[in-house]
Amino acid sequence: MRITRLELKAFGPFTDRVLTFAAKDPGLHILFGANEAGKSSSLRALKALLFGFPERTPDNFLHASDQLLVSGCLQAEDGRELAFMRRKKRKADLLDLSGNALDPSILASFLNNIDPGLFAALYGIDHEALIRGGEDILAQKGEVGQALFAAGAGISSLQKILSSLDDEADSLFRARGTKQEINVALARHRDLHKELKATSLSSREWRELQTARDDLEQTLLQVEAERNLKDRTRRQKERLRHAMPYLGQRRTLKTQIDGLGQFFLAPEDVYTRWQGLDQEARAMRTQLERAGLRLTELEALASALPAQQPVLGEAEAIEDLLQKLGAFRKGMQDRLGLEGQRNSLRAEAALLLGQVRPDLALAEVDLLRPVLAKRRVIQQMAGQYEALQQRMSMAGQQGLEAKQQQKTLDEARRGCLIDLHRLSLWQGELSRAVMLPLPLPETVRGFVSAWEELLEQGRAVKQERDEIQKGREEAFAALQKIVSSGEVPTETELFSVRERRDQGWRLLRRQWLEHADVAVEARAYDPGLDLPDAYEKSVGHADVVADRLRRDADRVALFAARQADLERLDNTLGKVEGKAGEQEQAMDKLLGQWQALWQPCGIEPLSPKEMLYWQNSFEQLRFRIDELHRKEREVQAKENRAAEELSAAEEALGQWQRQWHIALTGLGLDREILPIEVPDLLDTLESCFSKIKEAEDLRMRIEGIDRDAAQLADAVQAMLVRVGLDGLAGQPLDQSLIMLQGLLTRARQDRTLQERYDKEEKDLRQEIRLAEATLGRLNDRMNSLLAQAQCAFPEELAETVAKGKELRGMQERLRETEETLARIGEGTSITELERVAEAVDNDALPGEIDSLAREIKEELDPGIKRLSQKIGEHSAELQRMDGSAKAARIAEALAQVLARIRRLSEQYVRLKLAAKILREEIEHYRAVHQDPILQLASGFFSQLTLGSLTELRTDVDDQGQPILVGVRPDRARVTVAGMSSGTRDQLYLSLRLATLAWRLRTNEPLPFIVDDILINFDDDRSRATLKVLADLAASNQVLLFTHHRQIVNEARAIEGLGSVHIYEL
Amino acid sequence: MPRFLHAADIHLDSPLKGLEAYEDAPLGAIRGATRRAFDNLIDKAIEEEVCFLLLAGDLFDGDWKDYNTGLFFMDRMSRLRKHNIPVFIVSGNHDAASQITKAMPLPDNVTVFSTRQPETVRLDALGVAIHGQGYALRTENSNLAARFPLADPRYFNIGLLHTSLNGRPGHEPYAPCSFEDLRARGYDYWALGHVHQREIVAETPWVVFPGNLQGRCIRETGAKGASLVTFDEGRVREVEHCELDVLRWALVQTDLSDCAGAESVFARVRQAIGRRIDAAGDRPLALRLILGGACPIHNELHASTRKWNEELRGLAMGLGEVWVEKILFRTRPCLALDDIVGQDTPLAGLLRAMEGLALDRGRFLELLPEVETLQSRLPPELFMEDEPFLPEAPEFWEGLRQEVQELLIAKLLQHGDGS
Repeated sequence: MRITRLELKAFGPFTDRVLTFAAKDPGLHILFGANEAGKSSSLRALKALLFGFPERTPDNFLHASDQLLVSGCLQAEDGRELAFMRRKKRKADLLDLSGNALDPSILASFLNNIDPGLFAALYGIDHEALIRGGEDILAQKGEVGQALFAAGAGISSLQKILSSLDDEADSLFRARGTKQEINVALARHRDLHKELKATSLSSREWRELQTARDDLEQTLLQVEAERNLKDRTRRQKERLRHAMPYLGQRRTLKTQIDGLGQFFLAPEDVYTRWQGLDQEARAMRTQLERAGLRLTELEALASALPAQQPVLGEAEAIEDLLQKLGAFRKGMQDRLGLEGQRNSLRAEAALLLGQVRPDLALAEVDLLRPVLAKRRVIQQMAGQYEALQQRMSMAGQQGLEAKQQQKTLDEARRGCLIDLHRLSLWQGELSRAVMLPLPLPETVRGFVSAWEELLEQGRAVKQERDEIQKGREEAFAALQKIVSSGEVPTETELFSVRERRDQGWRLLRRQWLEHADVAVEARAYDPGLDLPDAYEKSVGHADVVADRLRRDADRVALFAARQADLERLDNTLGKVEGKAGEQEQAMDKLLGQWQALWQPCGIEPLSPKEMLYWQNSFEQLRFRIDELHRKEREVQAKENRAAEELSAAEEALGQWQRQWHIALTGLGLDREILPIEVPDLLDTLESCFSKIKEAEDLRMRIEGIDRDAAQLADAVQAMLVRVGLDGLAGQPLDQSLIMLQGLLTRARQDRTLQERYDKEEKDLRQEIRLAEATLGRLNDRMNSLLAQAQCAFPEELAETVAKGKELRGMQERLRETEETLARIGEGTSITELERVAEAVDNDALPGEIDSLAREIKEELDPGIKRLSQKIGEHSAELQRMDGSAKAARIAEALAQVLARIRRLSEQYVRLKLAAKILREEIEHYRAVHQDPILQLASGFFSQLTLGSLTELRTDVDDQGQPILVGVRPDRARVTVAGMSSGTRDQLYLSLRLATLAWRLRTNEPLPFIVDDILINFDDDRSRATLKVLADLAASNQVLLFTHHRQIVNEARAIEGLGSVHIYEL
Repeated sequence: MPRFLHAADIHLDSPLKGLEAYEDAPLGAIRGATRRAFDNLIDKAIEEEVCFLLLAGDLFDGDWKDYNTGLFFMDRMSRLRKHNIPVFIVSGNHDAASQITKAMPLPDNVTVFSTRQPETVRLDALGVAIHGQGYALRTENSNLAARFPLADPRYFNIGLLHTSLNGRPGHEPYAPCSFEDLRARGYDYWALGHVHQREIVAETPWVVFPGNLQGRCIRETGAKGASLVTFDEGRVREVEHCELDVLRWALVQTDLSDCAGAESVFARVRQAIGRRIDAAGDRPLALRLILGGACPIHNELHASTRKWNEELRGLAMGLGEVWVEKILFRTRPCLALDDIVGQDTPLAGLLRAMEGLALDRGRFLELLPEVETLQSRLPPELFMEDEPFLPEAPEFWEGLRQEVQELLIAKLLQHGDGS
């Protein structure tokens, strides 16, 4: 199969790009594309066409994925053709050229039903694969089986596959290893197994422990009971020993209480309470005394105060006046400043007025107010003035510009005239040139081609004539040559001599047989000889001619042929001459038509071709003239507009000036005022008015201050009269007011004192009343206390109370003693204690107690402790056996490790088996294919290395393995390790090509797709490789994709068995 | 209406098999699975306020020695005692071999039936008579059911027995008997144990294998639990299956037909596993992924199964608490193998050699004697399991041959110059 067309309808950077691989043979087709030009895209497109688009494509940046489309045409060896398209779709991606779904099996039959992966492996090679292949050969140490197998299957890294199988198996298990995954898992399994054994609790262990603990608990109960009994006895005795002293003390106290006898037991606190009341009564009496003294004092003070004064009634009015005094003083202060400001403002106003109208006094200034009222109008007009000025100057400017442009156009016009003159053939006004009715360019072009055709005819006729002439001359020369080598007899000549002979015979016969007189005729026949001689001579002559004719038959024929040639040529020449005549006539006719065409323009035309150029130039010139006329019209219009605008502006300015004059009359100035002056003038005037206004405001404020001062003075005067200080009239205002203030303050102080005395007196009287009542009540209570203690006098009371206190103390101690006994007895009653105590030997008691305590402490308690500890230990042990899932967890871990061991072991087995089978098959393949393929490869290798290595052979390495070696021209052997990496790449390529060639013998060819494998080859080997590929191309199509221009250049010079074609993308 | 629970084959503390720990695997999900499932059973009994609980044998694995398992069992029995739920137990083949069962002092709510002859317990308050007999030996080959007493017509009669009935695949044929033997006793309900697959053998009378309580390996897929039986007036009213397992096993067949890229493979697997996750409720899943179908990605899968294992496990974990037990690559190439290897290529030769390889254990060890070293080091459990390592079975060797063939073809094609 071969690919005859690849169409990148929408793919990568391409749109509708067509590559046609047309050649008689399969051919070497080199697709060149610089970087980014789409070399890789086109390679991918080819793969997509043949085997479909990959799920993800980098070629959808210009056309969307669902728009991607490639198409192509394949041709099978038997001549069948298949044109089809492929789009990017999961299903039905294959279409025929009309867009109908195409059965993939049809395409598959063209591709020999090959799997895409296998196609890529067997019929594709790129630079990386080449390098890998070379490296792999080195890694195999040139092992023949692997090299052949790898090249045969299109695998560039077979060694890698083999070692990956081995390495993976090795990483899983090694007999003596420790780090391999299975070894690790086995070790873990062993450890877990041990751990499980250690953790597992057997049922026997549990039962024994349980029984032992139960026994111990029983013993503990017994020992504890004994200890409790002994301890109780010890504690009883201990109690008794403690109780003995208190029992004695109790008896003593009882006796003492009985000794005190019977008496009235007054309340304990009665004396203290009486003393407290007595104290209070004394204090109360002192208080009464102090109050009486103070009362007398107050009465004296009150009588010393002066009588009430009238000034108090005016207190508010006076304070009001005092407040106003502040304002008065400030007013006086301000007045001075205000007066000064007013004067300076008026001075400034006068100055400003002077700038406008020096002739006017400040008082007359109001005359100017109307002008200020029109301020806005005046300012607006000033603004308009500027606009008018601007307008004027713009109009002038435009006029100038128009004139300038007119000059440029005049220049252009002159240029056009000069060009017209130079163009020749027609002269006249420019405006007429525009109107000139030139023939249509199409017409002229018609004449050009007719002209050319006629000229061509003429040339052809001439050439024909020349050739005929030449042929004629040659034929003539040949004739001459034949003639010059000897006379050439002709049939005509033979005929004429025979005629003469026959004529002689007829005469002779008449003379001889009929005896007629033929003398005259005989003389006429031959004047020199008599008839018989003449006849003889003619017979001889005829024989000679006939003989010569026969002898020179070849020359005669040649002569006749040349003569025929000459005649034929003459004939042809006649015809050609006729044609020449026709052509000239046609030419004359065309010339006539041609000149008639230009008649209306008054132009004597040159040849149509020249006229075509002339017309083109003339049309360009006409275009320029048109342009010139259009511009001239524009400039004229512009000039007119400028003039109109100028006059309009001037009129507007006049109008403005009249209004301006009217507006400014109010200023009363006798000179013309410029708009530019106006703002200043108006500002000055306005400032002047504003100053005057400010001065007026100040004047009014000063008057206000004076008015307030006068009112205050009147009020003060009236007040002085009211409070009876008439004598102070005429004093300055503020002094009078201060006097009033002093008077008021004093009157107020007196009144306050009077009020305070009154209050204190009232309080004192109340206090005295209360104290007297309290004193009465205290005396009553003291008397009642004495009665309570059954005493007549206070002195008796102390003694009675002291005796009661003694009795109470003894009773308290008795109670404490009994409490202590109750505590010691811990529930045993005092009576019971006394009873037991009577029966006990007091001295033996401590000894008994000690011996009991010792027994408990030294024997029973340690026993209990030991037992408890043991029980604790057993319980802890049993606690540990709590049904925990610890062992179960370990079993789970074990199960997990087992699963791991199983998986890894299975994987190990698979890998081992795979490696083994692959090695065996490699060896098998070698045994079968070594000889034929190596022979083919040897040839390629020698070519590719330019004879540096002339042959490939097998040898045997140290281990007895067959290996590949190269042979130098001097028969020296080179192992793959001794080859350069480039040479190894070429070795791999040779093996690949050999396999391809070998496969060609049995399989239909498929295109060999080569992707830039020449990158690292030097120029010579590059050429050699291209030559090898070109040779291969005679029987198998080769598509070489490259980025390198150099390769393309070299390929152009290659001459191989197959054809070479180059395509630039 | 009164109810009782019927469970069997608890295999307490028996570990889940075939789950290899890998990074991020949900270890917590499988830890103590049988214990947790057993706790679910106890909770269910208490929650449903059942009248009694029947355990039809195989409480523990026969070779399991840790007495803590027994203590755990006793603790849970005591719990039922607190709720006044009696428990009736017959021992199974595993229990007969177990040290734990023999030593276990059980609380008074638990009745263990004799192993010497059939025994009957009558619950007069409920009108229920339970007949049962346990295994004395691990291999009980006699027909125990035949010796059971005839039904007491005054009671609702239950037979409690550990048996393989007339034989069930994958189960030892212990205490063999026929359905006819059982029917002839005239009981209302036969509570059987031993067969791990739940099965209602018959409804007149009811003959029920509840299946085991918790699946423990990939052959024990699907929901596991106990049967909750409602009865009234001497008749079974309803038999309801309660799912009590804490982790579910599943075989996930995934069809990868036409898959060309990793994304589409992931999408199919995600979808297939997702369905199983939904079915399992909130339980974790342990699953075996079986990839099948003819697909363009076939070679890529087989050339690097390790990588795919990791990626698919990662994917499964992303979907929830999922433990991938194993992934079987059973996909096929899209083209016929002959077309893939081409004509007269080394690959074609390899394929012919592989196809011609008659592999069995003997031939294998002859080819690779070094594997015997590994074999001698492997733990004996690997050879005693239900799927022993390097078995004699011809299917195994055919499978291995296939796998190696796929591996080699895929590796060689993947490393071709065109890839």
